[in-house]
Amino acid sequence: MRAAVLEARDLTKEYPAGRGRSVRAVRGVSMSVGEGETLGVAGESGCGKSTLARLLVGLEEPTSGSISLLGQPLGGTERLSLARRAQLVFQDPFSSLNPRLTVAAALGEVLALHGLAGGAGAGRVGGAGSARSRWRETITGRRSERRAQVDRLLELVALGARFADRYPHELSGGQAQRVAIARALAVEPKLLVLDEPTSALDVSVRAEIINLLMRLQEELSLSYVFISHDLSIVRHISDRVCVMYLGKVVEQGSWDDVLNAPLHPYTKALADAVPVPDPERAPQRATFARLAPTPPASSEGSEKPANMRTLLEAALAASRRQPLPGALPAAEVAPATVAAEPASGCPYQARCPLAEEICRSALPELAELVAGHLVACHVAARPAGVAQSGEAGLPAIEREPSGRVGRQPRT
Amino acid sequence: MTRRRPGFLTGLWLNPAGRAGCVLVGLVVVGGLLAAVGATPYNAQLQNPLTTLKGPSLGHPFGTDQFGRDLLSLVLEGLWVSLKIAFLAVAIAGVAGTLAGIIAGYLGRWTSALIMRVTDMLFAIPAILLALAIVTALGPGALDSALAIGVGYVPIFVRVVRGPVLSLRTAGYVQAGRVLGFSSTRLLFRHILPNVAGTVAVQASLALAWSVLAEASLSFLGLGPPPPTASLGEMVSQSSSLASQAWWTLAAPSVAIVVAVIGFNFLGDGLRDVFDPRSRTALAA
Repeated sequence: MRAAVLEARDLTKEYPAGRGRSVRAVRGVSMSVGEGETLGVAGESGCGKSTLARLLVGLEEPTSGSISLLGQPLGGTERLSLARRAQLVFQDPFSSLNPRLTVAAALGEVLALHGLAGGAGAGRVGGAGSARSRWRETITGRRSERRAQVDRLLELVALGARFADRYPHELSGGQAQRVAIARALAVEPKLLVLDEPTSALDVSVRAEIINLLMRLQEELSLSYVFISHDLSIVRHISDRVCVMYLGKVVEQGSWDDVLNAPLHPYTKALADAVPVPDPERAPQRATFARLAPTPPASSEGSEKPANMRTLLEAALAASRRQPLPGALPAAEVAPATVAAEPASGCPYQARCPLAEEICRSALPELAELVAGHLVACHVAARPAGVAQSGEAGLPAIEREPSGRVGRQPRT
Repeated sequence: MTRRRPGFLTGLWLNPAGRAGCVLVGLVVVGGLLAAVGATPYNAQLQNPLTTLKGPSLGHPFGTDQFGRDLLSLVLEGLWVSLKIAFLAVAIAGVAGTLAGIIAGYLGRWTSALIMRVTDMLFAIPAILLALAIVTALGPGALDSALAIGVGYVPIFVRVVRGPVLSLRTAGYVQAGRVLGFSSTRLLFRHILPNVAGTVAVQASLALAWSVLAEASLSFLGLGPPPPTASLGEMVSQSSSLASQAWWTLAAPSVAIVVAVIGFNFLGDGLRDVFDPRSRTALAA
């Protein structure tokens, strides 16, 4: 197990929504990211992804729960030392750069503030005391050192020193995002929180940025929290993935488990929504087609997940034409006022094709169904023997899908 | 700060209103400076019984008043006094209003609410009435007039600055700066303020126009700087009884006021066009 760079426990963030009510943007989220690891966070708009990002870098105080970075709690940390540990890259590169500062000025300001003008890591200690006697020399020396460091940072993000004197409006979207990444890396953080870093970019540029991020991760052994609604990118870059719905993590595990063998009905719907750029292949990509060959991880649970899956598959097959019935409930778009979110039970119940009685009354907890694969779903968690059809799931899948084994899809 | 943006002055010059503003304001400022360095054609206060109430001529392009003083020299002196007071007033209003606006936009709800309610109260009182009250309380000196006029324009700066600060506070680069460990002071003065400087410049230019007018109104009412100091408003008020025989005694100070007010207004319009990114791209095309 790699040392945890980020540990978040039971993070909750509420915003006042007037008249004594509040909006819970993030509800009881726990996660950990190891050194050099990428945790992908997926979910649709309004599910609390960006709030989570802001919590992780200390832009917002969590209402409850705790975050620790490199083993030190985030609360009450001095802002400069906090900045050295975690940085945030925003979705829109242009709005994240001050239009009045050149690239060199923007990067240089960060370096100067953190005393990082010298060679990599050297600026962290000392300097100030001995510098006083020969301050003039030191200042000019620092200035050229700082410039050299700016050039190094630009090389790091494959831009080159010739961009140093440009203003943001003289950059393309991809170049601006590289500058934003360089600025975040200027303080040599261990963790980079990437809040949809590619969704404002052209598709061709997107791949370049992703490749850059993967190269940087390798060179600098960075840890990433990669937030995106684009599952194909999350799949590409992540070691582990967690899927959020209305502020809660509904599924978490290795990318292979979560995206290729999703257990939560919401993840399945998301995975099915990823476009397949091949009309020949597209019809085969129903969730269960991909599920079937995946062997369960633990030998002990090998029977149960298989049965449970087949049940789910059959039910989903029935509703396959419309993988995710209904829109995000209107009141929840903004997201979920306490009054509007389900009074009890699973946040996904209103749209879930598998929802049962228990889903309305009890909130499902994240449970490790397969080793390293956590799911918050009553139906998925239930041992197959308890399933309604009485029979084990295997025959069910051979039945006509419209026979609707298991639960009725609700629309 | 603004000059670093390419083509700022060029943009101002290419803009019709901006160009007119530059020319008129240049004229007024140069005239005022002439008076300041004592380079007026005549000693403005020199009375000459031989030249009372002469119409415009080569010797006295604006004519003379009932004491035989050269009106051009008097107008230039009056302009200088007006400009001094107006600039001082706008400086007071601009600095106080911008600071209050930044604080109201950046800080929490209660500070903001307090500042905005005070602003609303000031707004409810006509600026000239406020100036009258203050000048009566403080006395008619130049600094007092400037303060009296300036206070009335503080709310405009507060409003104009607060809006952009409110939206810039959540701008990506301010958020990024916060994550990078920048202090609030640094964010406010290095990142937010330069981006509202344009708006403030436009407002300052317009406020200069109003201030010249307000100063003239105050001295017209006899509340300007006391008599030995030349004053455009006072000249207008003095000439009202003479205007039927000697129209130039009314025209000279009035034209000076009009040129100054129109000039600053045009300059403000020009600046607004230049600072507005949409019109900038139109210029570039």
